[in-house]
Amino acid sequence: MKIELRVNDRDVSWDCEPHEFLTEVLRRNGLTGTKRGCESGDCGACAVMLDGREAPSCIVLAAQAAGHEITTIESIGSFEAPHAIQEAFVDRTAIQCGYCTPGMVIAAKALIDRNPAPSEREVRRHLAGHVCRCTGHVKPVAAVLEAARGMEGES
Amino acid sequence: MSRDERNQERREESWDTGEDRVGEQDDYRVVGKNERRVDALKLALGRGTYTDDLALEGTLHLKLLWSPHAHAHIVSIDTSAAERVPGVVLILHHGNVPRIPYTTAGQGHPEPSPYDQFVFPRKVRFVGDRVACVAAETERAAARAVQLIDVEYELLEPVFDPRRAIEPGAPVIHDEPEAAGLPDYDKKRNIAAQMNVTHGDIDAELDRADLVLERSYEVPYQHHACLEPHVALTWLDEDHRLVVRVATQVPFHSRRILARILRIPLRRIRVVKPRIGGGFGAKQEILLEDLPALVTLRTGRPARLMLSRSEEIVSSRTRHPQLLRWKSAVTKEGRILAQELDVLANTGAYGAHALTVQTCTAGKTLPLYRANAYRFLMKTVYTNLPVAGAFRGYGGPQGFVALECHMDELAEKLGIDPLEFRRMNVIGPGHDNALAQALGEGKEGPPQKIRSCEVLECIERGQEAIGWDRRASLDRSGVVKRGIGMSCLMHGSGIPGVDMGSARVKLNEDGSFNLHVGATDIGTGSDTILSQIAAETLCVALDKVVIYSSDTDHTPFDTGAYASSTTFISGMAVKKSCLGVVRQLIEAAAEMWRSRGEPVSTDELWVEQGNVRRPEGSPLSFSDICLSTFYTHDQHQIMDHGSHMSFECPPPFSADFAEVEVDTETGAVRVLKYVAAVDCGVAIHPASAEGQTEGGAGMSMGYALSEHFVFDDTGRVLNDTFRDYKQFTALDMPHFETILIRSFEPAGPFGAKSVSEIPTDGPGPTIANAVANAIGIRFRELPLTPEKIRRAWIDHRTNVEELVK
Amino acid sequence: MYLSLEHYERPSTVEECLRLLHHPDEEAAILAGGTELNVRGHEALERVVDIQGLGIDRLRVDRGEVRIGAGTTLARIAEHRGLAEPPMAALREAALAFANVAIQNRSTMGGRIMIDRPDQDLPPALAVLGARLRLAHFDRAEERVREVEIDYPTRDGARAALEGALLLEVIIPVDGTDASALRRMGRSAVDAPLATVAVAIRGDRVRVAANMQGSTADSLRLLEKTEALASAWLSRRPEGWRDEARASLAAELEAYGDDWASGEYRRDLGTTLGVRALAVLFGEEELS
Repeated sequence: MKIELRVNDRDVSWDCEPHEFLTEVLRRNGLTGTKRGCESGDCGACAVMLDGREAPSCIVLAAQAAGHEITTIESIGSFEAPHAIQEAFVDRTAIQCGYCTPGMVIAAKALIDRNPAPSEREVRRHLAGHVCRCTGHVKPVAAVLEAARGMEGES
Repeated sequence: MSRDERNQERREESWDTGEDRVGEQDDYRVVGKNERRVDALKLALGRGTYTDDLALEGTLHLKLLWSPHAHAHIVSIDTSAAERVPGVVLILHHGNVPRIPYTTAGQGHPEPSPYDQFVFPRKVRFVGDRVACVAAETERAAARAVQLIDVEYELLEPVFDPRRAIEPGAPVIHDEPEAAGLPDYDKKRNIAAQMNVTHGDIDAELDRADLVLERSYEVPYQHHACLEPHVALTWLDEDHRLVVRVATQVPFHSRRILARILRIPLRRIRVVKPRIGGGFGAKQEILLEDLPALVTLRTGRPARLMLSRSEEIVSSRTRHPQLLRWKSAVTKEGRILAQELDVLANTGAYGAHALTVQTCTAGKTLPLYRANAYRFLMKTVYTNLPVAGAFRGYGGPQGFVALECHMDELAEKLGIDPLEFRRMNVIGPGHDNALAQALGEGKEGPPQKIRSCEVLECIERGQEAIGWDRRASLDRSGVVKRGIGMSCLMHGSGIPGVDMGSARVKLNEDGSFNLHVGATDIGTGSDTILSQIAAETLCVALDKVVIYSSDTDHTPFDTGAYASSTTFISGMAVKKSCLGVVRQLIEAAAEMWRSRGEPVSTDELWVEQGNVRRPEGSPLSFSDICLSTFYTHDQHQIMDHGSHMSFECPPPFSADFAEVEVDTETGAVRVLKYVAAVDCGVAIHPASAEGQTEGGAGMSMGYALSEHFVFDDTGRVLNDTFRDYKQFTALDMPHFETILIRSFEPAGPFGAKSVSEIPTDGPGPTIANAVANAIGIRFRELPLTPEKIRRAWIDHRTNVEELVK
Repeated sequence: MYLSLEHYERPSTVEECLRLLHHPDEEAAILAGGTELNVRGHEALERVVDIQGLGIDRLRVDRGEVRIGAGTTLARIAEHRGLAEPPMAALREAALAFANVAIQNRSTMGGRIMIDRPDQDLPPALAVLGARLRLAHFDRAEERVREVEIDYPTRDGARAALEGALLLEVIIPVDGTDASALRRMGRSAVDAPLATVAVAIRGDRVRVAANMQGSTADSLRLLEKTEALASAWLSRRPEGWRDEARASLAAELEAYGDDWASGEYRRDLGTTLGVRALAVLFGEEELS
């Protein structure tokens, strides 16, 4: 089947099968920053933004995403101009193996977009669906709080 | 004398060994600084390319059929229906692959683990064992075909309890004639490894002790939970060589073992390690690359196999569950006379790391406190349960639960403050590690003397940070009670006399350097740390070092990312190769000046900030030197390589502290604060050392409180998803404070020791001790689930009420 | 992985949806957020019918009622200002308790109700708040859609009314509800509950419902004896009400054990959570 959707601010028309999940279809179309970790929505590695909210792409059928707006890690920052959240993750040494990082950045962006000054509790709640076996979550939480503070200063 | 002269002098002193004689951290320009990690930005941008991020045209996708039975002979396999599924290309099973015994352990040669596995077994030994593998055009076709493979099994009696497995008459799990292990291997009794070591006259010490205490402890299965599951992609390159792109910690072991079990020359294999999404020991195993490799060799097509989370939990590897009995003899003043540890470990269906994990259980724990005598008894036993293997901490997290709970119990019996009791007995600089020789890597190990050790400082600083003095006066009147606990820890740095790492450094025209290392960054930060060591030694900024790591064609050898060895062993190899390059730079500069009629002695020259300098006159930049040596004068490549192996294994030390809250009505434990005061020598990248500490401790907080395998009575794992396997999340993690206590380890690069594994040792005993402090109940079995705590509380209260009556 | 799925449909009317669901040849399933259906137990499924186009995802608070479309996500329920007041606290807590933020963004009210799993927090909250369900059925004989309204199913067999139906809306009366609370506990901060107890004051009555998780558990239980006791305490609470409540809850809760916890522990936990939830209603403990 063909699905029409908006991915990273671009209208696309992609082929997919009814049984395929969004993770697979994104990856097949070159957006490999979205990772596979658990296939049950419980690890956050596959997180994307769907209409501005964090969604677990491993349990969203690609067909379900038709007509919606998807944002993947590839459209958040670049080598030349990383997003403040990405800067904070780098500066805070909040990245170890990095497999969870795209999902965490997505979660943080979805949070800060709606709530520019989240409490530590809110940050923890929004990262709680993101399994990270490397960092113990300490530095990622600090990075998101720092990014939010920095962005608040900017605006 | 200027700083650089001092640096230079130090370098000359240590020209050959790479060892530092002095260690003023303030002298370092790159080491000890929180540089941006070399790979961080690409990972933050989602541009890191992991194994599965490469898609090759025409790739076949593999899916496995796993055993539904814990113990059964495979009578027949009928693949005819599966073969008819559109898209199916090849089905592998024991009937059509070579039967070569091997171990998946992924250790050096010869592996100290039994050869008890085959690519496919004829007899399945746990629910989740390999039965067959389908290669198809799509993952879905392969999965459908797997369901249509018809296998006839002859069921055998399983055995799940390690105590039962060694009883006479228990089912024999490895009855195949080919299975072979170390001399003590006793497969008829389901014993994969055993050991009996005594040091000193233990019986005499037990006799003269004022107090002998013996307690038993039990620790569960644990899942590594690397976020990236095991995955491999294989193909034939244009020279018809097999390329294996695999999520591994041990590319060189993978190549060696694949050559043997695939029966092709080693030179025909190239193993490439791309970005790795966490390893923690699970990816030390040669777990799955053999299957896509076989498919590629037979079909000529690329082949890909990635485990699902459920497969990863059940069929990869786990932490060895253990039953531990700890016995100690002490004087009434609190001096430890003797320690005895008896371990019964469960290795599951196969014996990967069956010996060495358990020797480390003893090797990391017993020497921490001085005693006149030690005894270590150990059996690692086969059962029909999931397979154990290497897991960050490597026996330490198990052993420290026993030792450090036991220390608290002893202190309580003696009426001594637990901190004071530890201070009185803990090992220190100049002490011998009495058991090091007896507990070598499958053979006698080199003797060990402690050089750097700041454990007392760790205790001191940790005690302050947690507020130990509040311990006696915490409010315990309500339903929710608070407690503070601690533990002391030590680990190792590499496998002495075994682990070897190597590196190669070459100069480029812009004064930058390519650094090629066999070491494998699996998220630990070793690419950054090794680059820092290179930059420091070469006197250049970090961005002048371009690192490329672990590719069996393009980098020199390294044993791999395990045993807390990379900074200590591979780091020294980097340092040695860079020292060689510095020498060549100086010689080349001297030659350039000589050729211009400005003769200098190399003894007068030194390197500083990308230049070779002389006492008088302008310097020569590395760039100028490279341009000259490439194109104009005395043409050659400035380049050197270095290898390092150490007979020393300097332990890092740590004192961990936790404050917890126990809800006596629900049994729930909340960790409020955790402090880890760690002596890892000089931290090359302090923030990364903190990150290792936080992550390692976080992983073991789950081990302490919520992680374990739940089995049904057929041996099937019931909590085989992340929804049901409960790790610590961002909401569970306490306020965390890492305190890096600096010592200077002469055997390590720039004074560094390891830090990656020691943090996993602490939370089990630290939290159990804090819970005991909070509610007055000693738990000797992990995890401390709410139900366990609530039950114990009800029993405890009933007992207290009866006493009052 | 869906091994058999060949058809994905996204109808735009309720009638079309119901017709598709009653496809004569292939088993079809309703797909809402997908957090359940897309995860497990669907290997043989050939057809899914996605309800996102039906326009049943509206959340309105007016005229003394909360009307929550079946397609409303848990996140929207948790965020909605109209539900932030004490009467709806149990609903909000239940929505926030499920899995993680990303799943709360996808999981729908309707999905949570229709899947009928015992390890959930929403059903007890809905039961104590007196929720009603508006359902659509396809009447094959008359070839037309019928809508019915039922009370939230809290008794054995009551769920039969949901069979083959499409849940359109959940209606919760606000007027007459003074306060509600929910207490639950899992094995870690992100987990299905080992036990959940919801309570509410509606008029002169206290409602108490418990969801005793466990593979063998009934999904939901209203605890009528405890309700009677607690209702009497609204005017005057004896000193030892907690002990009485504990005894009453322990007597009413059944001990359902499963792979994660024993029945005995779960009942014990349920009594503790029940007492604590009541304490919130009585103003003796913080809301959350």
